Amino acid sequence: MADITSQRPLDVLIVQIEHELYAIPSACVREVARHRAITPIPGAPRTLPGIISQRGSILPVADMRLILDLGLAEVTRATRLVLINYQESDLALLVDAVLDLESFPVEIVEPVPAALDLARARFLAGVVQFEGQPVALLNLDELIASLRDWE
Amino acid sequence: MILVIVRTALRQYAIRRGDLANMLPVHTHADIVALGNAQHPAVSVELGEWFDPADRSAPGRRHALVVPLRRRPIVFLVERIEQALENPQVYPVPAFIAHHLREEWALGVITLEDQLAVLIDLRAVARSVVLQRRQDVLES
Repeated sequence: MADITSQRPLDVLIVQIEHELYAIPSACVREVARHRAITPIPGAPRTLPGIISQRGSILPVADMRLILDLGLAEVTRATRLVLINYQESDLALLVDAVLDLESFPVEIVEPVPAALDLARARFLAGVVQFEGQPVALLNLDELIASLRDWE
Repeated sequence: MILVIVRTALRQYAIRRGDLANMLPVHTHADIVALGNAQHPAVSVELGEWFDPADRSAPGRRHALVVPLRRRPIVFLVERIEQALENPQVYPVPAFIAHHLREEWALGVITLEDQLAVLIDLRAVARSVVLQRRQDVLES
């Protein structure tokens, strides 16, 4: 597995989902876009609410709230689509807000707390402390694999 | 291939003209009933609502898209017919989504200026409607 923590230092985009902070490896992030109308595909699961057109490409959208089992929320002015390319896959991640780009020394990455719900823990590669708050590092390998396999 | 772009209350869809026996405006329930006959009564469905319960049109003038199945015509109601396109570029549904579709209703995607429209296999949807109706009858 291409471990997120193998990067030195750890360059990430910090996003907010619900009231929690998550980190996406910057190297995968192509663009951050404002929320716009998502075209639903009839018969698709709720975790994949539809598609968007971005610079001539048609991208699937993954709702990170639902993937992380955090429930639905209203779209706000802060809602963003984080466009990523990972393992030759293009995907738009729907998040509640984008905070900042940050760089962490890899040594400060801690393991995912054992008490965390397994459904969520599987998508996390570790945790770092950022301005007094925990930031969960998203495990894109697992995210992409789950989207490929989701029943 | 000619695609017809139709609009529901919330969305627009592309439909293959070849899937339709007819498309025409309807004003009343009687207009819809008239699309069938005693042996083969028409079944009418709001296309938008079939896909998304929130996509519900207000009552009034509609356009009927008539799909002729073997036993009866299925009439899909939409708010309006926007345009017809001859051989537009059809893009595949992104693989992440295509692999997870619970029904094979989406054939692809077309771009309309800055918007997207899903190309629907309306015959497949019509078959699903019949199955659903049959199931409803069995459960009632």
